[in-house]
Amino acid sequence: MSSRELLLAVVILAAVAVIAGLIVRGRVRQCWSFAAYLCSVVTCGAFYIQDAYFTKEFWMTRQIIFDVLKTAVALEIAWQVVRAFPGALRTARVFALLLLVGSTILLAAGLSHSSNYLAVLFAWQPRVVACTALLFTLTALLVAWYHLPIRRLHRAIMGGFTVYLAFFATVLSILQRSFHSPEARYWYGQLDSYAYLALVVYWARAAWARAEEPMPEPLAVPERREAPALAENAA
Amino acid sequence: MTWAIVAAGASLVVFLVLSRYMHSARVRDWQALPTVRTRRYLAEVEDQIALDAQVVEEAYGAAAGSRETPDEAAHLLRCAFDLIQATQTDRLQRLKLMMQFARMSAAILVAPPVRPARFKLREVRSVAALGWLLHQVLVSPTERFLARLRVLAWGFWLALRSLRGARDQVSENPAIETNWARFENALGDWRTLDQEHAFAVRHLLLSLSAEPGAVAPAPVNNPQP
Repeated sequence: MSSRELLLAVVILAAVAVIAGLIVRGRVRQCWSFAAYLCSVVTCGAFYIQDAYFTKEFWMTRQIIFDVLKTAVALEIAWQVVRAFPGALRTARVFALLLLVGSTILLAAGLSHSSNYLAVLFAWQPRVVACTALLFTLTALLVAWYHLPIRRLHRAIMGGFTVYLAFFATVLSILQRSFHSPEARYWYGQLDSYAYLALVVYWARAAWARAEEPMPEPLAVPERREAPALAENAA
Repeated sequence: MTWAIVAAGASLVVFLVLSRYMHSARVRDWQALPTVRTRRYLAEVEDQIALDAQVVEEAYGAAAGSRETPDEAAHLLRCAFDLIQATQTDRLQRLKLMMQFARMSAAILVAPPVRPARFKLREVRSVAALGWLLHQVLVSPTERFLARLRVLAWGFWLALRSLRGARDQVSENPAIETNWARFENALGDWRTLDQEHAFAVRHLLLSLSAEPGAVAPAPVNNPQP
């Protein structure tokens, strides 16, 4: 077993541990798309570990699946955080829509020249990473501005993802300059894998955490009483 | 590289927000958000504000009344200033808390801007005029209310600065009339700010209570009979 295969196997095991933690502790419903994302990490990893699937085409397919699910995770967390707060929900809708439209335009512009492996890796991926990180930032800003409470798992996903995404974007940016060197490709790949492993272990810790933090009760809005005249007419 | 910088910037923002996040404190704040049940609190706050204003009034009245003996008058004026300073801390804390509550509130009534004409001190009037301008420009009621609170906080700060200056001048030369007049002008503005602050407390608590048919509080300069 090569070091690449070994590292990938450890990442898959860690992702399985996160899924198990989410199920055992009943946290799956806190973010369904995160569970779906982890399942895709396990499934794609199981294929990618085999030499037959260790290809550029499979890597691109895998990245597209991850990108779609990462965007879904960012949007679901934003919704889960603001859904109980109508004012914040309205703001989140407007800004999320603006960000998604802006991201679509940016991604479309990135694919205008060619859609081969290098274009996906160096033109498309950094844009996707930046747009996903901005979606998480939107949620963080809403949390700060409206003074909203946020669950431990959501904090772990947001914090972990954004730090890793910034790291990944930086690695891509450096790799672009030294892509011609196979050694550089290998070492940057290894570095990225270790960073991802650290991220999944961090999520596993949050998924298996014993105590669930209390959340405030949603504010009950008193029902408007019917006007006496109308009530009489109805009778 | 541009996208790496964008991602790093986004990561930094998330990191800063999450590093300052205290879950238990935040849950406590939401549970402490005023509701219909806390209407009694409004009466208590209003009583406290009125009591503070009365004590300040009496302290200044005693100082102004004993101006025949300048040293004693200056001493009493210093006492009055200390009282104002002590009560102002409470008011600034309340305004800060209200800013947070206003952001947390999704249902808030539209508050009128603080009228610049009600103030004598040029700097306080300028801040009130800026607040009036912001009120016309800003769109959401929450933003307008927050601007109002900020104007009051800045106004309190400026009024206290003027009071401090006038106090020092009176202490140096208790017999000079203009120094007393300056203190009186600053005190007048401080009183006006206090009334506006009391109105803001009432406005926020009534908005948060969100009872059907709740009557909007009357503006300070046009009290309801």
